[in-house]
Amino acid sequence: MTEQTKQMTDKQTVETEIDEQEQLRLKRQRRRSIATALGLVLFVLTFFVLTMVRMGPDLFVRPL
Amino acid sequence: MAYVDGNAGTKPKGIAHGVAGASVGDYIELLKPRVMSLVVFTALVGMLLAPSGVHPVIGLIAIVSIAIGGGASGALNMWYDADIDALMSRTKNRPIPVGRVDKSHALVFGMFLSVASVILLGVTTNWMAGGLLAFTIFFYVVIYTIWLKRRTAQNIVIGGAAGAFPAMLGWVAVTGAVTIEPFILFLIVFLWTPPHFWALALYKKGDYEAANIPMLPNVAGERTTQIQIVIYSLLLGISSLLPVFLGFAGLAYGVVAGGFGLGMIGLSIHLFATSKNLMRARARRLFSFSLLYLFIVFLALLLETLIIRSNFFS
Repeated sequence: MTEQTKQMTDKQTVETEIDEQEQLRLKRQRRRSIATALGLVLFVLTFFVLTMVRMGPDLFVRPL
Repeated sequence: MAYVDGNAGTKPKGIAHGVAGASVGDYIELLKPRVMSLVVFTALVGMLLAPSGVHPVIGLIAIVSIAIGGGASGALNMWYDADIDALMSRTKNRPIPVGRVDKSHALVFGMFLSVASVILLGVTTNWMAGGLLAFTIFFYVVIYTIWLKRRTAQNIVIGGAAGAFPAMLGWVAVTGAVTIEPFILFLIVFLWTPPHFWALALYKKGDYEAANIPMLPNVAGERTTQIQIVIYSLLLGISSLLPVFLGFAGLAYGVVAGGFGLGMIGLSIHLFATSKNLMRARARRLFSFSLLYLFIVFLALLLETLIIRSNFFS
């Protein structure tokens, strides 16, 4: 293997590693975003259910 | 006296910061799930022992709020203790010391969850419970983690109150008042904490030495720690029988609490009487038994109350 070929192979290996790291970073970022979104949805749902439970049947008893 | 110089040098040299960023699991790890499970269990027992009932949905949201509050305390504890966590074998692989989670992110995460959990509990149950949860988080993070942990060998005795509050919280979330019963639950966990953590400190003495944390075995010596463990185990054994004497637990609980209390006292005396060679193994045994002790005693109290209330034997 010539010196030039060796250098190119090393460069390709480094590039592949960087690419894999970037993909992993993006994957983790996406999962964190999904988890945050799910957390917020759960928070909203909790308040919705809480309101229903607190007010009970009175929720629908109101003047039209 | 400050044993560790502030919070400087958080990231250990030679450990690369996480280039791929934190995973969701890392953030869950910040919440100390094992501690959270204990918080949930004791809070649940406190809630179910309370004389007045609670709507199951309200109860569930209250337990989740208390669990989130406990987790938030864990995240804030990891934020502040990142420097000493990096020095101990038990904690060096936590997300902040290894660089998977940024310290500032852990702080924001912990603060956000603290505020959210207090508001959620206050709105769901009552503001006495919300306030008590806020005080519990404050006590664990500021009084224990920031103030006492690095300054006094009595850190775990006073700081133990933070771990004892959840049982009281469960009760207060239902009744809105602090009476003698939740105080006894608090007392049991409070007196359980020193023998539990001093047993750990005995067999992990080197860890605490490396991190310069003034745990009792490092400051006062192993012998004094063993004596203190026996004293606290005796007090724990007596206090765990108080529910029987005060009339909110029956004979079945008394037998279980008495038996396991004797087990705690026996193992602590065994540790006191041991040679230096066997000390670590016996300390580890006491540590494991103490975990089982708390679980069984609270479970017995809960089951007995539920069985009596359901008129199972009538």
